[in-house]
Amino acid sequence: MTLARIIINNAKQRMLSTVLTSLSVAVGVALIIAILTIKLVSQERLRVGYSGFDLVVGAKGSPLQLVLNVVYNLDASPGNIPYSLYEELQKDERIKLVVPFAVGDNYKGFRIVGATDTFLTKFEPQQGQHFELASGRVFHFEEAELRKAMKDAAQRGTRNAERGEEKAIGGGKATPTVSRVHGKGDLVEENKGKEVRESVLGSEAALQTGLKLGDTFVATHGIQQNEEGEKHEDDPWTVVGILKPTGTPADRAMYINLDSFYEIKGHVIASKDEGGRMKDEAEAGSGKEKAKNGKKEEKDNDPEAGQLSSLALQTYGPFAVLGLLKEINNREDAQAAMPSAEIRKLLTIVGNVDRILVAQAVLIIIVSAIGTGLAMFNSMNDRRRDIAVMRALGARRGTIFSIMVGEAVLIAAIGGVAGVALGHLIIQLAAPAVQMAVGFTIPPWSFHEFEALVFAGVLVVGALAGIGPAVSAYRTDVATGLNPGV
Amino acid sequence: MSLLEIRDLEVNYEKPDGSLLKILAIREFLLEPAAQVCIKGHSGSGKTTLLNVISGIRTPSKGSVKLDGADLSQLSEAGRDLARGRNIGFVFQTFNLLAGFTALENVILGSVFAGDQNEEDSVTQKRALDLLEKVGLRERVHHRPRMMSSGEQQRVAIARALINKPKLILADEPTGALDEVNSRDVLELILSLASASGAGLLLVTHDPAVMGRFSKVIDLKNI
Repeated sequence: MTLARIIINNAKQRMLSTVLTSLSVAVGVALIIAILTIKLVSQERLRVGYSGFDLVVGAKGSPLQLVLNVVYNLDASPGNIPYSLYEELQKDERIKLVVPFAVGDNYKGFRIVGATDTFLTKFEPQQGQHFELASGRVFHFEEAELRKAMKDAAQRGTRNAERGEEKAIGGGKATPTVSRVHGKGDLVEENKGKEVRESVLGSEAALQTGLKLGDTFVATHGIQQNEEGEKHEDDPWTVVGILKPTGTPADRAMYINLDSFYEIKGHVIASKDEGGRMKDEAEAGSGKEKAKNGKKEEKDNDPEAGQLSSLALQTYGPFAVLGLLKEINNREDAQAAMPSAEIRKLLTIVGNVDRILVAQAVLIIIVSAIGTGLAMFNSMNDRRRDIAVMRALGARRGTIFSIMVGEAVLIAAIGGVAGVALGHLIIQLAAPAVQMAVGFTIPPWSFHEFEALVFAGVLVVGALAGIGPAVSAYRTDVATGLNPGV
Repeated sequence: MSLLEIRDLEVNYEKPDGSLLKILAIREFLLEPAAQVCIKGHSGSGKTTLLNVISGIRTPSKGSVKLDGADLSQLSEAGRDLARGRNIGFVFQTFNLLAGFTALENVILGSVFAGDQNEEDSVTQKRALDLLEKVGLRERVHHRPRMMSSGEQQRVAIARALINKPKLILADEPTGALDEVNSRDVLELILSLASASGAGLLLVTHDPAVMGRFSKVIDLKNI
């Protein structure tokens, strides 16, 4: 028989107390595990998400909103930017690659993103990684088709404005009102002879929606799943490709060719400038700039020149990033944001909340440990005889001390193991909600190094809690313990 | 050499007023190896205190106690604990088994604190099983004390006292909590097993029936 056996028997003898105190330790451990795992994985996923984006460009507004919209397919687009900005940046020698996006629809909650084929063939969602197809092909895209589609969308927007109806692209800041500009016959006439609208799905989007190559789907207007939302019944898309997993938010997106985005008759390009002002107001307010920039200004404000939700830039280095950031932010019609910087700011804010939650969980563990010590203290009267017997059998005071501390550590260890399991169970239960909120999955049963540290810490706290009762046991008078009357 | 030598022993208790109360005083007491001696005395005469001093649980105020030649007063507390674990087997009036341990575990417990004797666990377990068989409890090895009668519990205690092949067995009123039949059986076991193992036996009692089984009975107040 070993001391460990003696410790286990002692704990079993007081089973109810052992179970209850272990459970209280488990709760604290579970909270720490759940909080820190979600935090660590979230931070890593966020970092992976933005690693391919040096800069994102969109309408003036919140930089964080822009980053969340472009990089993570969350939140609404702050507004629209002129297509001409895209053309301008394509010629900038500091920029390795610029890709345009248009958003505003969803399919069963998955973001539909209008993009060019360049995004799927040249963009690196993570540094050094390109998109790969699991099946099918990339959709067709032609610049000429895009220009035509944007022009048509702008003309629809003008007609809307004249009739007092307004619905901009982008799913914008305001909840769009639904309006059908054309009847069904118009669409058939417009699209006569046109190829099918093509879509390439992210791996997760394909898995969750069940869509396969050749399947068609109808988008719903709006960026969030809404059963009551307007469905573009007359503008179905066909799945022509499915991407391999990238581990980025792209996995949950459904990409369509940008020109087909504008062909949706429910999508119009509003007749107002990118700052959200009406065209007439823009001209009045920016007279100086107009005089200075001349034709360029007119072109920017001309809806038929086209608008986009956003751009993603990959540059040739940090100096290019900083230079472009400043220049674009000095413009009136657009802003640029550095995803890494914005996410760092977000994590700093969230980090404070994390620290409070972890501190609370640590407090729970400490209180549980104190409870363990108190439970053992309260049982000392019952234990004195047993301690005296062991001393009479030759056990030294130090051995008795070790047995008592060992019992406290055992209770902490049981709580620690149960807490780790419970923590991962909490993660598993919370995973669907986390995925809905931030778009990525947290593997519930993958373990991290910090958990070993937490477990070790729990053992240390347990040992400290056992010291008080151990000292009391150490001081037990053997003669009195054996023969209370002597 | 005597197994046990006690000379000029005094155990005093300090009263709150600072004066000393003499609990035990022994001028000389010798116990030969394998001898079986009964110490008699009325309740409160210091019988238990004598056993505590001999086993090193309590230190005397004066005098010396030598066990197998080793002067216990020269040992540290840890040394006395070790000497007790290796050389002395205890049988108590109230059995003093650990409630959370089976009969077998209680017997083996007697060997756990005996220091590093390099004995395999399996050997110890076999010896424990043999002892439980000798005391007639082979079928109760996995029973906890609450599942046994008082007589059975005392038998387990006897087996525990013998697990380390002690040189000296100290029995403090071992039949005090038993009925007549069990008292007779338990006493017989203690005497026979002590004799068979070659251990000395020092039994304290105030029961005349128990005294009658010993060839040598000493009154505590006369030593």
